[in-house]
Amino acid sequence: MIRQSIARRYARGLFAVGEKDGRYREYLGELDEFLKVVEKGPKIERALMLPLLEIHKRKEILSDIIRALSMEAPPAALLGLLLERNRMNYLPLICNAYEAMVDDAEGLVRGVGYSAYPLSETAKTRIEEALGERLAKRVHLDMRQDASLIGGIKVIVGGLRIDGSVKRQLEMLNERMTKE
Amino acid sequence: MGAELSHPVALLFQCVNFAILVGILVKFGKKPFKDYLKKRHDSVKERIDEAGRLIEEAGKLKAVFEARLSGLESEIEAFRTSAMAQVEKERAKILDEAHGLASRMREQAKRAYEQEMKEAMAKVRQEVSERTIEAAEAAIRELFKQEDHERMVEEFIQNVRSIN
Repeated sequence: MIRQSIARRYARGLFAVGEKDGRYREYLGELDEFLKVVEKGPKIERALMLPLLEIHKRKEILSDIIRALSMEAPPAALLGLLLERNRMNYLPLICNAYEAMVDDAEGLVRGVGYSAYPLSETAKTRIEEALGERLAKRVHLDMRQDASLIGGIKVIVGGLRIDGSVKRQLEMLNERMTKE
Repeated sequence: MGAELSHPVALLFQCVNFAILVGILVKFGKKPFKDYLKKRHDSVKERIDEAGRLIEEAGKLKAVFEARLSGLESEIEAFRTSAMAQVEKERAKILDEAHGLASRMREQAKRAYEQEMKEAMAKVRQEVSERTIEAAEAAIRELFKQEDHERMVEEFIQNVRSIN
């Protein structure tokens, strides 16, 4: 909880800059790209996240990555700050918090959907639209297949949990039968 | 002959002697003897009086004990009545407590029985429900097709829209 609060503070700082220059979406892309590079290279991750190397060496590595990714000054400054304060391991949390701020600014809400069978793109879009009308926001669902649902779908989005699966109907039937 | 003559003189002498002795005894022994007899008389009289007093006290004591003895019967009767009343009271109290205890035990047993019945019924319902759901799930899995899933997705979309 404290870690998330700290992460939100850093994300808010970067978002304020991005909102001002209108480039908050780009900053998100750059942070995501940086995170992918770090996560793909365990040595880089260890070098940046763990304070084993001397600070100037870690700064050199960070500068090399920033140059290679052609990152803009604000996200690069945030990364430098995190390195100096030994808080590079907060980066995944900061990215999540920043993404939520970007989504919120763009009226987008992300959620997860579970489907018993593979779902067509058309059906997914229709579900997102229906949910978007309900939440008065654009909805983006990350769909996953879950055969345990037997049939139907279940979505968790924007504080909503809507379960239209056969599994849920059987659970409700079970609850009714045991209550009687 | 001389012995015969001296005998009367001796006898007389003895008599005079005796008379003198008696006279001396009367002269000197009369008062102490009289005092002794008086003292003896007084002592006997005192003892007789004491005996009379003791007899009188014994009579009084006897009267007291006789009075007490006569009251003892009524005292025993009163004690017996009181003891019986106390016993009856204790008996009633014990019976009341026993009735109360029996009533509470009956109530507890009833509640325990009802609770156990409730739990048993819940277990039975749970068991029946689980088996029913298992059977229903198996049947649905066998019969359920992609088309059914698509129909459910359509229903889901309609439901979400209808809630709006």
